[in-house]
Amino acid sequence: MFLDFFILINTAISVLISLFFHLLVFRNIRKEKTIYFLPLVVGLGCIFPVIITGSAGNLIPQIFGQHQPEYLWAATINSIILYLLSMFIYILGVFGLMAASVRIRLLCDIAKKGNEGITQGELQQSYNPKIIAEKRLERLVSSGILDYRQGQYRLKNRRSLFFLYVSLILLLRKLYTGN
Amino acid sequence: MIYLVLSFVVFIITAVSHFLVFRLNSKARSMLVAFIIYFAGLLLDVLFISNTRSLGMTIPLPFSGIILYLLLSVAYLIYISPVILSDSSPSNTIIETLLVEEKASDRQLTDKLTAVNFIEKRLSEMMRAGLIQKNRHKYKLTSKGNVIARIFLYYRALYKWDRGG
Repeated sequence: MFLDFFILINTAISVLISLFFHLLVFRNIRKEKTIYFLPLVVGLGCIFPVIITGSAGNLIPQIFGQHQPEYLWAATINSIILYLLSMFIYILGVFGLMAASVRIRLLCDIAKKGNEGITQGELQQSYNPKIIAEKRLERLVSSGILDYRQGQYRLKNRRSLFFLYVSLILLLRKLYTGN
Repeated sequence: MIYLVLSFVVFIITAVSHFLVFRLNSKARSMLVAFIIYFAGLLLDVLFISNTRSLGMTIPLPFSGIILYLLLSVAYLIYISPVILSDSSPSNTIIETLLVEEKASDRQLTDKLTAVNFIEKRLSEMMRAGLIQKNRHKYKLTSKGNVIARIFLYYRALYKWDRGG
């Protein structure tokens, strides 16, 4: 049971440290490079569960008891799996909303107008389909997913994680809805 | 490790069950039905795990198993929410267009996004969700919308992200 709690605490600490680094990195990079840096930052964060498990095993060897090598492996692998899933949820459910959600952008623009309110026309002066397209295309080109040549956009990197992410959604949509 | 494998198997069974319900019953295509099915899966996972404990495994990880199921379910539900809600993001629309047409100009892609009209669609969705209200052609936040907007405005300031979207 001790190992079980150790894995959960290890995951929680790793996620917190990783979120701190995530904040530091994304405060200081160009926003268009977000898609490129996201998998890098999350991937490098896998080092935290390993460091925490290794340190615990070295500093207090008795905590893993007589099955030390076996328990160390179990703690490391399970903590990494739970860490990756937690970060995936954070990026999709929180960070992604802040960075790219049309809903959150509109909600914040309406909030800035306070009690005065804002018409759809006023909203669309600063945020409209043209701006939505420009921002997405800039991000996708900067991240190396799209290529822009002679006034035309083409898919460039079909092996990128973002491309796989979108392709899988399109495949699931086909499976679920038949369209 | 048996607990984690068990939780993963329960998650797969739940995902397949949800898929079948989604395909066979068009009235069940909602997030609420998805939550109910995945919650039933969680109960099944707890039931299996509490019985596995009596087998006396060398590495007992019951809580990690349950947390694994929860995280897998939440991650998958967030991931397939556009499919369940018959929605698509602007980036997905761009990639989808380029997959079909090989190449496209700025104009073609902007026209594609204008056709979906994300702004009008999202404003209607937020009105239905009770986040905003329309009064004399002007949109204002409800108290619920105000709380969410304040959280994200603070969060953006933390990341030095002047404007999202």
